[in-house]
Amino acid sequence: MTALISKEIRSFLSSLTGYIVISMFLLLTGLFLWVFPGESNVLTGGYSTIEPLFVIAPWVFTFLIPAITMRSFAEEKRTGTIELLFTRPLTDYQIIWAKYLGAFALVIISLLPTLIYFYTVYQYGNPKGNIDTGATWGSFIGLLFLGSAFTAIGLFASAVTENQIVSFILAAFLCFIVYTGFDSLASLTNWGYAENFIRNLGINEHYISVSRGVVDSRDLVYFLSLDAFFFLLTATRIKSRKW
Amino acid sequence: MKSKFKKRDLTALFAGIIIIVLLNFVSGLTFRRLDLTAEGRFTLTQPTIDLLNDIDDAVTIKVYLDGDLPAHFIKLRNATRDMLDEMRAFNGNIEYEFIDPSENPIKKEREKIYTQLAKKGVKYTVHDTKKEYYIFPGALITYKGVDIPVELLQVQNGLSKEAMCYNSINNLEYQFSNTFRKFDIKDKPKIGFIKGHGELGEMETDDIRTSLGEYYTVERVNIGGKLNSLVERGKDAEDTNKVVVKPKYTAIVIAKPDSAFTENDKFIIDQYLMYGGKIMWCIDNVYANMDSLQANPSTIAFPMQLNLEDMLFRYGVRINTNMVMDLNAAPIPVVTEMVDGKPIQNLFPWYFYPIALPTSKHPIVKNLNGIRMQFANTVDTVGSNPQVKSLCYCIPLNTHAI
Repeated sequence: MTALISKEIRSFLSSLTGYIVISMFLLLTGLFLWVFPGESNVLTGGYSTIEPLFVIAPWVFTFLIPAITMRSFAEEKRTGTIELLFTRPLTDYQIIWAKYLGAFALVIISLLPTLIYFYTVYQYGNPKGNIDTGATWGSFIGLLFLGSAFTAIGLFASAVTENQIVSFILAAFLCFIVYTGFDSLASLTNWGYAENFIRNLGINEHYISVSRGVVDSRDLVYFLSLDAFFFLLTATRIKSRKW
Repeated sequence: MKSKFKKRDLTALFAGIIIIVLLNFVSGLTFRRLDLTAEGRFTLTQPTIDLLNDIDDAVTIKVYLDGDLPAHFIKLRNATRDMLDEMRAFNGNIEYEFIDPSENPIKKEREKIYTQLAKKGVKYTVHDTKKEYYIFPGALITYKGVDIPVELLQVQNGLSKEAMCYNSINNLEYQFSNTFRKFDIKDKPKIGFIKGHGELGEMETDDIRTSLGEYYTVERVNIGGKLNSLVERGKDAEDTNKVVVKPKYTAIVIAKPDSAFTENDKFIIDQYLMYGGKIMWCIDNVYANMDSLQANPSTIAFPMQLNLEDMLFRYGVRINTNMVMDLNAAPIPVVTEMVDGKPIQNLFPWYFYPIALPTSKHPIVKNLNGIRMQFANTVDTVGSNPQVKSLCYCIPLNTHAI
């Protein structure tokens, strides 16, 4: 299994995909945070915070993570290499795990350099170190959870089709719906008691909660469940070849 | 053969989904938190825990924030419930219930409940003007037969209800612990505001005296050279036959005097301090006023001549006769242009209103934001008194004393 994980990571880093994803992510967040004037500019914002990063990053991830995961199953199915993979002494779950960890590793790699943003604001704070450390770490953890959920969604989208483009669009759409769709749905009409329940189905509510700097067991369970849910769907889809 | 796989896989899928749903349901019943913030914002503070441990009788908390509410109020309600759960974990005497005051569909009955609540001091806000629904973002705490209302929503002008709810969530612990503290006060300690040297009057100190009034008895004192104005003779706590001199007030406040203190008054203040009193000096050593700048482009600042220099010097502090200019300054409105004969105001930083950032962990300034000062003077610490501590400072780079 480790061989498969390292193969996945290597395949990202030996092709252009990995580098484009990482540099796109850093370029976009970097430009919005430090160069483009506007609400999300840290330098002109007047507050020592990197909160704008945690507003922009989920949107960037909505497109970049599907781009990472779109080929994992779709490509292998199209070229037929998936049959080779299935003949290996690996369970279906192990294959999904390996694909998942490979893609998630790329998400982590692209997030790591943003720690420099944190360090910069930490140093420039007045007085030095005047940044809401708790909220920042909470937001990083939230972003990791969000990335992991998007990866699971992307893998599922990749498993249902042979076409990478379809997989990408489906994944981006699902990410968007799970991220803010439930929020929008909740504010559509007056749901009464159900409103909060609908809101809690979406990622946004839990992401904001973690961003305050407190890791609540309920949010933790939610994110892990979301991963598990899409894992199950992916696994069922993979297993359905024998049906 | 094939359908066997299908059946097995689909069963596994549905079983998995059911497990996930159940897990989420169970996790919603209870919760643990890992607080990442440096100052423990989401953990009950030690003073609150001490207060909770002091509660030795049943406390009933009725929270009136329930029912069909807008989303941000639901958040506030949930945060309140979490907070009360957490408090319950420390003291089982705390019992709470959530009551929906708008439950009754009959308007008259509803209004009856509304009036009752308003009489008890629970504040309300309008929810639906057409249907005349009100939200009561408050609670009643009953302890040993006494009802005290708590405001869960902190109303701030110029903020949306959403923002107010968010801010209030961060303040819940304070609101509750503050109320618990009120149950605890038996004899209010006294605080004296000194008058007689041109100190701030009733009007100017009204706000702070009202706030302090919840925990202290606030009086205004004229020293006037009278020896017994700040201290009194009383019996010793241990040896009742001995007569000792005790301070009359837990603390005194000397707020912005503008005329000289006589040697007698200084002696009495010093003796008060020596017998264990505490003094808060709010001294402007240089006279400067925005009023004179309203009409003229310039004003003259001059030293106050308070005759306190020697006294403060002995305590280890010298207030200089200068003014601080700082780039990190509070803005003031300035009329920049006239449109249709109406003045348009814009905010500009006014360098004489520096914003000082607290750097100390001292309780007086801990967790405070920047503090706006108006025409501040620099303060030097003199001598080697280890008790003298500085609480705030301005960044030397940007600061300029004139």
